[in-house]
Amino acid sequence: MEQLIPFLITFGAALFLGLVLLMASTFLGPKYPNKSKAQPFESGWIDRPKISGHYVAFYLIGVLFLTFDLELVLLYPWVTIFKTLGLSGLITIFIFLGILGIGLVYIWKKGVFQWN
Amino acid sequence: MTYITTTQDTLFYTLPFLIPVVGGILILMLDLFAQSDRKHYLGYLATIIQVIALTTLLYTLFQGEDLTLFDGLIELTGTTLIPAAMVLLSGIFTTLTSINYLERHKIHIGEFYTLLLISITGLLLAITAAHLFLLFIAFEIFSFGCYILVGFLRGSPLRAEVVVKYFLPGALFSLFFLFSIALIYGQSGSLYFASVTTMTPHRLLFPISFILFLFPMLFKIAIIPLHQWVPDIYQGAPANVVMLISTGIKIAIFTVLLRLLPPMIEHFKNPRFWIDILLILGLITMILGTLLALVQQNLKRLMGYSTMIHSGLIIMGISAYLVSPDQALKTALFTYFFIYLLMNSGIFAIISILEHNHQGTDLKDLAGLHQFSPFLYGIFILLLVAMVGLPPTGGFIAKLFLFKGIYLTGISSIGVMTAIGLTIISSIIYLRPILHMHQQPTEETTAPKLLGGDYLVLTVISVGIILTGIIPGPLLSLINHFTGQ
Repeated sequence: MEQLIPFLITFGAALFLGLVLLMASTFLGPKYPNKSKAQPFESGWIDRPKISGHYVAFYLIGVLFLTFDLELVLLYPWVTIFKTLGLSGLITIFIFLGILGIGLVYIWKKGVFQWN
Repeated sequence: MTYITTTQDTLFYTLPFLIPVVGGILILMLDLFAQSDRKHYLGYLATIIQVIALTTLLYTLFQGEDLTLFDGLIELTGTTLIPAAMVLLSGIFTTLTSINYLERHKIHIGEFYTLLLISITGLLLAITAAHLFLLFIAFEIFSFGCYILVGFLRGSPLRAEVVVKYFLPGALFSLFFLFSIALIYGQSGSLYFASVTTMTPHRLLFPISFILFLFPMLFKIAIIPLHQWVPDIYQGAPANVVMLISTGIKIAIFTVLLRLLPPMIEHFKNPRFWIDILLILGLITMILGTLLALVQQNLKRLMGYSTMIHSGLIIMGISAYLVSPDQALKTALFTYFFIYLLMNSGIFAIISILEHNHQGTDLKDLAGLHQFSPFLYGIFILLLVAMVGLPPTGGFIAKLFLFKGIYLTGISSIGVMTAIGLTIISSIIYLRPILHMHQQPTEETTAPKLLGGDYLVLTVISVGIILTGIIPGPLLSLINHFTGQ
């Protein structure tokens, strides 16, 4: 604890100084607000709203990839201890795969794979 | 405490949790192949699923044995099963009233019921969990369900506001909860509730973990200073989702607090200081809830502040329970939960019938209710009288026993007197809707359409409130019998 005291003093002093300087510029500095100043700075360009970002399917595929990738992450360690787990392990993993399969049917019917 | 080890028995006793999950997935599948004008059948199916789950849960309860599943992850005792049954009841009320609501708003989305069932499962797990991490997972399950459900009104101008205001603080406080669990693990070396009792607390870390644990809990039950979301979410979310948020979630969190606060608070050198903080928070919540409810013009916002009054009173009861763990007070608290569940579900059922696209929930919209719907009018008045706490309704019994229990623990007679005074003031809040009902409607109003589910819910609730008011003995002795140690 004693070794920390110099560090804490330095830290406190830095924090204090930083806050005081910031406050000082806020309170003492002159203020001339105008419209261009209030706009967000965008490298000299006038800010305008973007019409669209990425194609929606991009995100859907990303999430789907993550889901089925994690499925593999679970299946690999399961394979290594498959014999020790026996029948109950087999049933459990099939329940897991079944729930994932239901998810697949769900997104299929919802039209996630139709990329028009 | 009996440990359940065989697979068959484990499967049987987990049925109350399994049935809603499997039912939810079934509804998800059926929804894909159902025509959009037949989606309301999914609502009835969801109701049946919850009734079956409730039956299996009550079967376990009436066996009268304390059970432990999954090596101590889940505890099925009277103290956990009774609030679990109440949560399922809240889910049934919510499902039955949403059928009409979704039909009227032309929301033909079967996922509503799936999310509802999965939220209910999360609530059941949170109540019965005996392990901090399972509690966290359950907390997340029901929170996620509700984050989606509150924003279910498509095209509503308030939708984005509601979701963001509920989701962002909720997610933040989930992190607080997780950090608190990590700190508790650092002190105890285990996450079972039992190890919270036996751990050796750290001088500095334990208060931090205690405060961090309180944050998500007090947020969900809207105790000051974490109450700001209440009016906006209550106004913007579908009325029957609010029904679940204000009854099911609150009952679950109160049960968690009742189970976890007594072992935690004992570790403090001066427990009375922390109990007093809780008591004062409860009292301030009651005062602020009463004052703000007095000036509301929207019925849903008014009911939001009204639920804050109830939360504050229950937190006062819980802090009194921490001073002296008295069985009579515990019974009074669970009775209060049950009657609060009936009253609040009833009022939000009526609001969900009157509401249409955020219209019809201002107090002035109630004008002429006795002309265009005498049925709703009668039940509304009964529920408001119960909310005030007048005999012969259950509201009187609930308040009487809770005030008596708090007073007898001797925690703070001034606090109890203030709470009673606030209850008297709060009668003005509940009289204002009645006043508005008797005014002449300014425009032509048509009677709202009621389905069988709405009639069933409102009838069951009003019969329940009158019965608990006239003959409270059976309910009290039932709760007393099962929650006893």
